[in-house]
Amino acid sequence: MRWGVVLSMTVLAVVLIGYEWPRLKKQPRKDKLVFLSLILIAWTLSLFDLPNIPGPTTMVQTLFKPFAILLE
Amino acid sequence: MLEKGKISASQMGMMLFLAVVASGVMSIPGITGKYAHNDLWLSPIWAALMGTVTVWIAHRLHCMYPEKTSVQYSEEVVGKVAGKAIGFLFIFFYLHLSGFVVRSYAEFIVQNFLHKTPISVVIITMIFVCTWAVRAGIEVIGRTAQLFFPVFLIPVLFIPLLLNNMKLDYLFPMLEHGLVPSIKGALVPGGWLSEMFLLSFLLPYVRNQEKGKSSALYAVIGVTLLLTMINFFILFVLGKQIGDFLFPVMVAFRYISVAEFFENMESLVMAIWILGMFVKISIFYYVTVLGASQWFRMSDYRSLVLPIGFFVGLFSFWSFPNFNTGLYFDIYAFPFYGPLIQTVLPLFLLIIAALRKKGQSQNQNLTAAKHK
Amino acid sequence: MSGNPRKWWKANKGRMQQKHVPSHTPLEKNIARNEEILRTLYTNCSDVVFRSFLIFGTTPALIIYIDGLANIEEMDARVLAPLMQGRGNTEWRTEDFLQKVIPISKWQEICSLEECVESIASGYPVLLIDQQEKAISIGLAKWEKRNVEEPVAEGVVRGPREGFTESITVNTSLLRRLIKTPALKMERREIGGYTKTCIIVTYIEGLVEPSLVTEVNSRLSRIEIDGILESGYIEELIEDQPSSPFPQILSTERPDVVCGNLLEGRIAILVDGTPFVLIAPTTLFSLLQSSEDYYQRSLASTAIRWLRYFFTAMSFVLPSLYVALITYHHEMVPTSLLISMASSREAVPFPALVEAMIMEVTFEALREAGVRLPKQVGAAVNIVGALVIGQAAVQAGLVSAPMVIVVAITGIASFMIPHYIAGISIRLLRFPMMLLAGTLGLLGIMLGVIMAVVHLCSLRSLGVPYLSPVGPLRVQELKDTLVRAPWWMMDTRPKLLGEANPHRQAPGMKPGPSNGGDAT
Repeated sequence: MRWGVVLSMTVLAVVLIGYEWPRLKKQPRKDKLVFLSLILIAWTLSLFDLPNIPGPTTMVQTLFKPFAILLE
Repeated sequence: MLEKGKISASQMGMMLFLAVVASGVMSIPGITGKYAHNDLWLSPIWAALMGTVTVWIAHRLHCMYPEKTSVQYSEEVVGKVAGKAIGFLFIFFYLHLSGFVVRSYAEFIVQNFLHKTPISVVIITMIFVCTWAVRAGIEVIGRTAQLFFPVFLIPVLFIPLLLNNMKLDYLFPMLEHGLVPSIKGALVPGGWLSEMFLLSFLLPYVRNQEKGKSSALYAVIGVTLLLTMINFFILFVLGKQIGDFLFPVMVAFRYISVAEFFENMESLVMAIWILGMFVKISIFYYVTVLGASQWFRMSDYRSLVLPIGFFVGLFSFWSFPNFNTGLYFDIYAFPFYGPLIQTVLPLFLLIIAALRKKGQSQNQNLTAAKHK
Repeated sequence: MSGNPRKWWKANKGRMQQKHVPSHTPLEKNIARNEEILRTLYTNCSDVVFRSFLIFGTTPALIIYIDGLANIEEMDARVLAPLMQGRGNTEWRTEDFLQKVIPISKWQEICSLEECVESIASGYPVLLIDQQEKAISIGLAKWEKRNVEEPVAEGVVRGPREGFTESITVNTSLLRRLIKTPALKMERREIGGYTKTCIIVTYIEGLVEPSLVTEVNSRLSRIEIDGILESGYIEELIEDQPSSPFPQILSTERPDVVCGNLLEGRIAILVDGTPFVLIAPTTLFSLLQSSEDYYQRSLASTAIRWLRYFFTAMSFVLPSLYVALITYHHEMVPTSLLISMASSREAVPFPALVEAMIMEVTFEALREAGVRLPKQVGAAVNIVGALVIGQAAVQAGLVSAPMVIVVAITGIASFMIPHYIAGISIRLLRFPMMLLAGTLGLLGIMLGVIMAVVHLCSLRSLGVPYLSPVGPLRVQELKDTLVRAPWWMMDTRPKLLGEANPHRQAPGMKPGPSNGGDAT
């Protein structure tokens, strides 16, 4: 099951790069670098079991726990 | 300038209106009703204060740094390192929210209409469509917002169809427990209205700058009016049980039945609501892309559309693991988180910027005096 | 000649020009030499006639023309007769003597072989005279052409019955008859390496935004192609977004439509050899407007416009809506209707999506066959068509009756679009819409609509937004979009790009008892 996700995410990353590359070719080096590294980060993130690990929402929720009492 | 397109002030107003109200109109009334009970119609008016203050701050900052978005001017206000940090905070905030909004849209669709469709399909199709719009630029988003704005208001015309289901008695007793419940109920819509800060990313691209502030304020007024009206409407239809429903608006529309033919309007309402959500998601997505490309100092923001789209998809799973967590976030965290990033942080920037400008002009005065 | 055609063109460009178009070779004094060159150029051209004769029995001369393109009777009577039968003196060598002898108004002296060839090809006989370095192009062209007839594809009940023809001179004359001001400009150019097709860009100076003319001209001058046989070639070569299904340039057969658009500050492109004239910039709404809208009473026009908008939307979404309702959203259909629909679908073996696809494709096939078939066979197609999409198909249990109704309405709706070409593109889009509806139901339809709207919002025609005046909104111009305001209200011209002369007419022309009406 997980392998399916990994495979499809890899395919997605490759498709995104393949689609954007012809246009990106003319852009400065920095743009390519940012583009590729963002795709790489996203791809790495996609390998984790995202719904079940603490994410930004969990972080924000713990941060604002003291205020939440106001609404209890 | 990364974005070469221009929008008109009225287009910006409609974009802001849809950006705030599209998701709000479904989930806010239920949450407000939970706290404010039959005083829920009052809450949006308190919340409007938050929107007005945010618009005011964003506009003041824009006047100090015209042609710059908040990601760009925060570097000028508090210096390079702190500015980059604040810029990152903005980008991350909007990325998080984009993912969150996409997911809540998908949850709503799956729970109410397409029970058997896998949620990832709903998410991916929406992100795909938004990617298309974001790549086309702010001009196209502005025009679509303008086209969808009147369509989005069509369901309001259905409200009179429910006149014989309405009971005005539900309004009373008014303010039974004082103002506190209605203010508590205003916290959630207040968080939503702080999203008016999107203004700071759109204002630099407005053609008729002088009308920018007023059309943003019109957007605040519009949001308030619509929410108040919807709150009245569901209060009259559903009475005290509003707080028990997650999506009371959909429940209320289910009551519609005219001549046994115009029934089950909720599918139509959902279809129209999708248009609004599309605009909302595109704007959040666009702001993230624009902010990120300014943060990285790219030469073209379009290079980032696809990677950020990938991120939005991931965040829709990461930041919204299941429906209950999402709801909890909406009620207990976002009313503080949203205004903190979108109102308090900009206010802090504004104060520093004002002090700096003052210092600068004093310095200039001093040097001028010396030269005399 | 295999391989990349563009490369072939590049490689052979120089040679071709030498062989076919002697570029700026001046004519020689010796007539025999000139004749030799021209005869080599026209080797194996049986339609080119070389006629040698002696002027006044002394000086050798030569007349060259293309059989069937030149007016031979006139040439015999007005050129050959006076020159051959006149009495010989040397007076004829003076400059204007020939003009005195030959009574013809269209007369041009040419000095190069290139011009000779051009003139012969356009049908003008060329007269070469010994010991003269210039030739004379005689304006006696005449060829068979179609009469001005009523356009078949754009019929009106009220309005002029004239349509353009294949001859560009007739077409320009039709325009000039309607717009008499000298501000109506017609810029001529030739495109096509072999066909040398005459293209005329026409606009009204003072109304058109000059940058638009420059843009059109620069786009046209980019074209390097073997031949232009129809204005469709030009359209595809100059449009803004070639991959879009929507036509960004309007084509029409009606002079009144062209003139109306010229008066709104647009540009028309006439192409020789086709009755279809291109108009740019175009918006989606001008595709949905018929010229008759402006001749009818405004109230009726407004109503018809709305009907058209509604059915255009229908032809786009109706089949997909049906598929979505049948497959996913039963609750949206009122119960009694649902029951009757379900009972008629009982015997149908296909899922709704497949059923809709089959029927819509069949409809398209019948339509296409109806267009291509000879008139005599048309009746047969009609009968078969009525059986296929109709009672027989329903009775056979292959399709359900509601599906037949949906297909019929969609078909009719798509033919309500006044411009046939635009209708086709909207009809094509309903197939992906049906697929979306079959997979995601109403959500799919909405996503499809959003994609279409985003695409339309990003389209431009010569830089003018395709959805203007609705997106971006220009309230002033809605008077000719949402409604068709009466003429006395149409004071301002649509603003395309820039604002060249925004006023169309004097304000306050509303007729009434106290204002020009019958004040008794």
